[in-house]
Parts: sequence; structure tokens; C-alpha cells
Amino acid sequence: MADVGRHPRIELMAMSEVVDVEGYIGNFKVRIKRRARYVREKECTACGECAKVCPETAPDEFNIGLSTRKAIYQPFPQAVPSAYLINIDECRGMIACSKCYEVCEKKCIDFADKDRTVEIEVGTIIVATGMEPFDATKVEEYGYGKYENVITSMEFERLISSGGPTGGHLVRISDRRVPKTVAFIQCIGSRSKRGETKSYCSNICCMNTIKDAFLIHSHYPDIEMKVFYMDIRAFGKGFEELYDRTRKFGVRYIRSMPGYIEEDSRTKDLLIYAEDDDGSVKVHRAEMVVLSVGLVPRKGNDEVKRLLSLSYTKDGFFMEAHPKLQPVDAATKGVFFAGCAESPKDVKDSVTQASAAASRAMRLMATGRVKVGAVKPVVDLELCKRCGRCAKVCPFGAVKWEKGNPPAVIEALCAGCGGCAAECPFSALDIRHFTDEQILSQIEAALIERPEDKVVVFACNWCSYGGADTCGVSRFQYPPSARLIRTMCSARVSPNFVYYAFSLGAPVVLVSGCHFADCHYINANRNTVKRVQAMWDRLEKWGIRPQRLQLEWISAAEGERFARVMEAMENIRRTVTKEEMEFGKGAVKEYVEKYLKEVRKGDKVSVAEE
Amino acid sequence: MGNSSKNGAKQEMQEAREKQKKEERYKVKLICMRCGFEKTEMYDPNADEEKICPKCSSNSIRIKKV
Ligand code: SF4
Ligand code: SF4
Ligand SMILES: [Zn+2]
Repeated sequence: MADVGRHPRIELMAMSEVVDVEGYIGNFKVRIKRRARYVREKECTACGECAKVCPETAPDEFNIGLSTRKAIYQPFPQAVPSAYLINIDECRGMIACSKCYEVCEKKCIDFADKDRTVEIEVGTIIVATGMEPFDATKVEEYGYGKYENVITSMEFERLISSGGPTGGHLVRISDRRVPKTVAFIQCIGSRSKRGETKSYCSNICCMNTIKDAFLIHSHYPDIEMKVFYMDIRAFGKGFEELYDRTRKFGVRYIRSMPGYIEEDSRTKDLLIYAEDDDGSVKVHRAEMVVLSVGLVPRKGNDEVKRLLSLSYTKDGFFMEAHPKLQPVDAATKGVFFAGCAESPKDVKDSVTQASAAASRAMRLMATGRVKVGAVKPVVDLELCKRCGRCAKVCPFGAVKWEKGNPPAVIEALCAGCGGCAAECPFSALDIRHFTDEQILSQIEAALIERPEDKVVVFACNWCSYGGADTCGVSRFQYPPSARLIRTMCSARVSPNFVYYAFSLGAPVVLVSGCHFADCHYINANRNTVKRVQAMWDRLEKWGIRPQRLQLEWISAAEGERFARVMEAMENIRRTVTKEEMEFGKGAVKEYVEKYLKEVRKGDKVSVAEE
Repeated sequence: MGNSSKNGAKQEMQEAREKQKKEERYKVKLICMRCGFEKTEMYDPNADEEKICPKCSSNSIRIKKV
């Protein structure tokens, strides 16, 4: 950190908040709000004389409230930049006090300091917003917040640290004495679906407890330790050995999640009620309980998500562009992830990911140019009614639109999902290499012979088409009625394609794509859902059985699911009568003829923004 | 760090937004377009979740306001 602070080409902006991001890869404009420090950062030598005279105290956030600090303070001893700051809400002010001002020899206190906004231009962005510990008060049965000697692993960390509030002496909060017995309870807030707990494994807590047990043993070899756990996950390099060593020096690992904890009101010891191997409930007495809390996404992530057009996995952490092939890239080009912003991880993995993110960013900046794919929107300026619907659905914010104007596309931002083209109610937009004409031709080819025997399947490039591949490679059998048409994203499937297939006598049409969490275009497939819902309504209005249009999410790994879905489609196909097909053809005829007339006239031109 | 009152305002805004979102919930009928299974429930249009039929595991779930 100190190296970063000193580096001539790194500008560290502490107490700063990103408030706006505009632009795209290579050309981001970032507005940053820099909060007032009230101490001149460059001149302050962190001598600490000011804090000595400051009359206002407050709980020290760094020591999780286990000690106090002054209203003028350094957030923690190793903080970079090494300078003090004033929490103005706690300060008595220049007129009422100004003791720090008087004592500071270098005269760096500046009560006139103000928040200000700066704008910088950057080529790439790395999101490293970290995580938060799970709030242990949400698991009420363990009495955190109620019993003084029940603490979290984060609080334990400060207690055992030589720079912490007790100078590294492990003491109980109730009587400031070294406990004779310490119990750790694992998976607090993780691997559970109760209340506000999280279903995922927080990755670091088992090893953190093992390390803590090791620390306790090296400082206080007589403390008796018990660890209550579901499974110990010690899968990293050297981790199993460390786990073994703690067992050898006497840490008792008890495979049981305690039901609840009670406090002995006289001694303030804790009584842990946990099921034993034989099913009976046993009471374990401990002088201190450490709750091994899991990691949860940062509360402020929503704003970062919005500013950078990012998406979350279902756990609420940021989603990478591809879990195996682009694990540090965001779906938005030029944005990368490092550390727990992307998923819970330990220091080593965070450093590895940060190095990868830095080199991904450097590679781009060293090249100075990016290659973008050719699958981009083009517009027919005569058909375009300047409604702006295309701009609203673009998950990347790549379509710029102003009232009265046709859209302009920032090609470096556009990922080519095709959702904008499917959204345009006037068929004014098209997608290069996945044009309406090309897709219509594929539909015609699929239905040229015995259309009544076919199921038209729109499959997205990344998932459902991959699922079909996996199905084939794994030799799963599925009915021969399926005719696959590949699009980059299910969002490219315009309702016009579906109606066209019905006009040619298709009995069943399936729109398929990635599961929500896997969408390669942030959340473009949510628009697919909306369109399919609208199509069901419309089909019903036209007197066509809505069941003839189906929607399925199939991942590239779900070969078997692909086969099962195709069997289900075949079963539906068999229920569609000749009369129904003929009726359907007639019902969509007028709509389709109008669409074909529109789409086949005029020229589509690039509207790439320079 | 000098902005706790603003943080408070931010939090209030967030809470107000969440309250508004809650109020946006409405009753719908979910109909499986594959097997016909039907269910009525309160629907949150802002909930970003994949719909799946509990009977046949199809994603063809039609949402109709009731
Ligand atoms: S291209 Fe289509 S959706 Fe976009 S502004 Fe023009 S008419 Fe509207
Ligand atoms: S193709 Fe997709 S990413 Fe590109 S402009 Fe259209 S909606 Fe946006
Ligand atoms: Zn069903």
C-alpha cells in the first residue's frame, strides 16, 4: 500500500466516491466526489499531536468499536496516505474549539475545506470494492449483541492483533481476563437458507478459524478450543497440514451446528447446546464464543452496478464475463474485477485475481486499440420513427438517443446481443451477420418440407446452442423434429420471426437461451421474457393456442436437459392439429405481410458514433 | 467520515425506494405453458428470478394479472 502511495504514476484518491461514469473502453470519463478531509493531506506528517488535544471521542471503526478514537484521527495506523482527517459531524468546530488548529505546527488543519467533484479520463476500470462481513445479529440464537462474550471473527481479529485495542492480548469483553475456553462456530450466515443467511460457502471462514486457533495456541497454549462445524473446507496449498497441526495440539473439532447459546448470568460464560454424534443434546461451556461470520456483497454495489452496466450472480456478487475463459473481465468491455467484489475469496486468490485484472487492463492500454466484433446494429433511417425504444433495452447503454433523432450506436460498447433490433417496433434496426433476412431464410429452409413435422428452435450462441452440442456429443437421443436457428442471444428473437414461422405452418416454436445468471449480455434475456409474454397475449388474441410458443433456459452443460426439452416440444407438436396450423397461418398473414413489406425495403446503414 | 447525515438521507431514499417496490407487487396467475399447472401468487415485477414450473420444470410460465 505504501508503495502504491509513493508510485509516481499512481494517484491514490482516498475519501472519494465515483458518482458518474460515461464513455466506453479506452475512453471512460469518471466523475469523482472527493470528500473534505479538513487536514491538508500533503503537509500532514501524522505526528498525532492534534488527536492528543481533541476533546471529542467516538468508537473506533477500525477496531470495530472495541476502542475509541478522536474526532481528528487516522483511520488506522498503516493508512495511506499517512495523514489525519476530521469527522466534521463529531467535531465541535473552529469557533467552539480549534484545539487541533492551535497545536498543529505545520498548520495543516483547514476548516474551510469543502467536498469537490473532479473528472478524470481513464482507459480501463478495475472494480475492487470488496465485501462486508455478515451481520451476526441476524442469527439470533447465538446471542451476538446480547451476550458480551460472544464476538465475531472480525472482532477476534482485532483482539488478537498486536496493533489492536488490547495490544494483542486475548481477553473476554465482560471481565478483561484471558478466557480458559474458546469455542468457534462456523458458517455463520453461510450455507444456510434461513432468514437473511446466504446459501453459498464464504470460502475463507474455515481456514480463518484454523489460523485463529493456531494463533491462540501460540500465544496461550493452555486455552482449550472447540470448533463447531458442518464440514471443514481446507482445500488450498498447505491448508490441510495446518488443519492437522491444530488437531494435533488439541483443538477439538465437533461436527455439529449448535441449536442455541445461553449465558450463565453469574460468570458470563456461555452454554452451547449442540447435538452429539448419538443424537443427544450436549451442553458445552465456553468462556468466549467466536462466530465465524461469512462474507456478503457490499451494500454500495448497486450504484457501481448501475454506473458500469454490470450484473450480479444470484449470490449478489458481480458477474464475470465468463466463469472459465474470462474470469476477471466484466461483460462491459474495459472493466475488470479483483477480489471479493466478484466472489468471496482469500488474500492469495485476491492477489492472483488483482494481478490478472491489472495485466488484462495493461494489455489493452499498451495496445492502445481494441478490436470489436462485426455483429452490430444498422438502421434504416427512413423506417426509424425516432421512438428511442432501442436505447431503453440495451443492457450496455450502447445506444445513444435523443428525442427527435435516430439512435447512434457506440460500437465499442455494443456487445452484439441484437436486443435492440428485436425491440424496434418498426423493423428499422437490423444486426449485421444476424439480419432479419438471414434469419427469415433459415426459417423458410427449416419449414420448406413438411412443416407440420418440425419444431423451430431459436437457440442462443452461448448456452442453448451449446446445450444442443453437449447433447449430441454425449449421444443423448432426441426427436428429429427440431430445427435449430442460432442467434447470439435469445434477445435477438424478434416476435416477427416467431409469427413468420407460424405463417409458414410451424406447429411449435421454441425460444431458448441462457439461464438468468449466465446471460452473456448482462440481462438481455429478461427482455426475451417480456417479449414472449407479449407474444402469448397476442397469439391468444389472434386465436392461436399460446402453448405453441415455448420458452426454455438451457445451459451449455445441460445436454440432457436439451434432449428432455426437445421431447417435450415433440409431445406438444403432436397435439397441434392440421386445422390449427392452417388457422394460424391465416391469423398471422396480414401482420406478417406488412412486416415483410417493411423489412424488405430501404437500406440499413451504420449509425456508429465516431 | 463527515457525511453520516448524507448517508442517512441516502439510506432513507433507499428505504423509500424499497417500500415503493414492495407496493408495486400485485396478484398474478402463473400458468405453465407446457403442462398447464396454475398457481396464484403475489408477483414482484422487480424480482429478477427465473420462473420454473414446479411440476414439469418448464420455463414457459405465463404471467397473467388477476
Ligand atoms: S431504431 Fe427503432 S426503436 Fe430505435 S428509435 Fe428508431 S424506431 Fe425507435
Ligand atoms: S446489439 Fe445489444 S448491445 Fe448492441 S446496441 Fe443493440 S442492444 Fe445494445
Ligand atoms: Zn409445467
